[in-house]
Amino acid sequence: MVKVIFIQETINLTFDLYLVLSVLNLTATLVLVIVVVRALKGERNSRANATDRLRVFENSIINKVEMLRNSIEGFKNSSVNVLSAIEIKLKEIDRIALNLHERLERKLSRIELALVDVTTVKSIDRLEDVDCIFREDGLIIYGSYDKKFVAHIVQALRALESLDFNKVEVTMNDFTVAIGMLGQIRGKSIYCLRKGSSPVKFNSKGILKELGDIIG
Amino acid sequence: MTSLAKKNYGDIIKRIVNRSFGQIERCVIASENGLPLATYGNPDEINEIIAAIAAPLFAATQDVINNLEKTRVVKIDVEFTNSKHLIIAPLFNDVIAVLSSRNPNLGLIYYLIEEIAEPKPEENRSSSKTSKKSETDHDTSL
Repeated sequence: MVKVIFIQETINLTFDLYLVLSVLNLTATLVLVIVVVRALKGERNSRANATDRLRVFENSIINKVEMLRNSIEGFKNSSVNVLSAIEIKLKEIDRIALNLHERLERKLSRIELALVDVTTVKSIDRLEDVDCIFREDGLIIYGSYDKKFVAHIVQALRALESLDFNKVEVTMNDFTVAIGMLGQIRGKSIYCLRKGSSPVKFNSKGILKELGDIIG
Repeated sequence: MTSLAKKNYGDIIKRIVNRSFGQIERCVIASENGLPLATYGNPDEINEIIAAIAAPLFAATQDVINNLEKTRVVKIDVEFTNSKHLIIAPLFNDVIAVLSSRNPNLGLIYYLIEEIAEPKPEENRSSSKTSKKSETDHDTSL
């Protein structure tokens, strides 16, 4: 009988132990599940946080890049403006230099002409040194020269009349014809002409005085 | 006057006027009895008057001069108060009369007339060779 009770007790005890173990096992499993779930939840949260942070970080980087881009563009624009200003200034300097160059060239050519005048220009003071003297109407009044040439020179002088010139030189193949304005006689302009190879300068007063003595 | 000569006179007038740089207002070639043979300038009635004046004027001048000197008249230049000139010169058996513009380049007009007008008596006496050279020079000019 005792044996049966013992067995029964053993069975009961065994049963209880099994139950307890099962309960413990279940509890442990539940805890584990909870832990795992929490862990998973935490991980998800941290991921979301990280994503948010990443987005914030990304936005801040985008903002920074935007700012950088704006400042670079600003710098670029200001550089372009500076370059344009430099270009304008350079062009201005170029123009001034060109003007100076032209003025210098003119001055130099004048100096050269003056030097040529001083060295090689022959002064024509006497009537006998001119080839002919003609009036503004193309009539030769002293000396002689190719009538065709004189007639056409008169036509050219009429075109130049308003320029108030003193001397005109016509260079042909190997000689130069110098035509000088002497003055006026009885309201008509008088010109003299000399053919030669070197530059000449006419002494109008001297030539006109001699001419006046001849033609009265 | 043959039609060929008339055509040549037309060419002569055209040649003179074209080379005058506007110094010639009218140009008339007239027969010795005062009839216009070729003209330049409008109206034509004035040219007829110029022809009628120029031919007898030149003939009369030649007659008068013959009493003074045994020579020929090369040209007559009549200056007007308006500063125009009427220049008459012999051309074969006829005369050429040129009415200039105001204040003309007389040197040019004389040169153009001398180019086509009769050779001077002095030139007639010179050798024909010289005359030919002179003509060649004129043809190649301008």
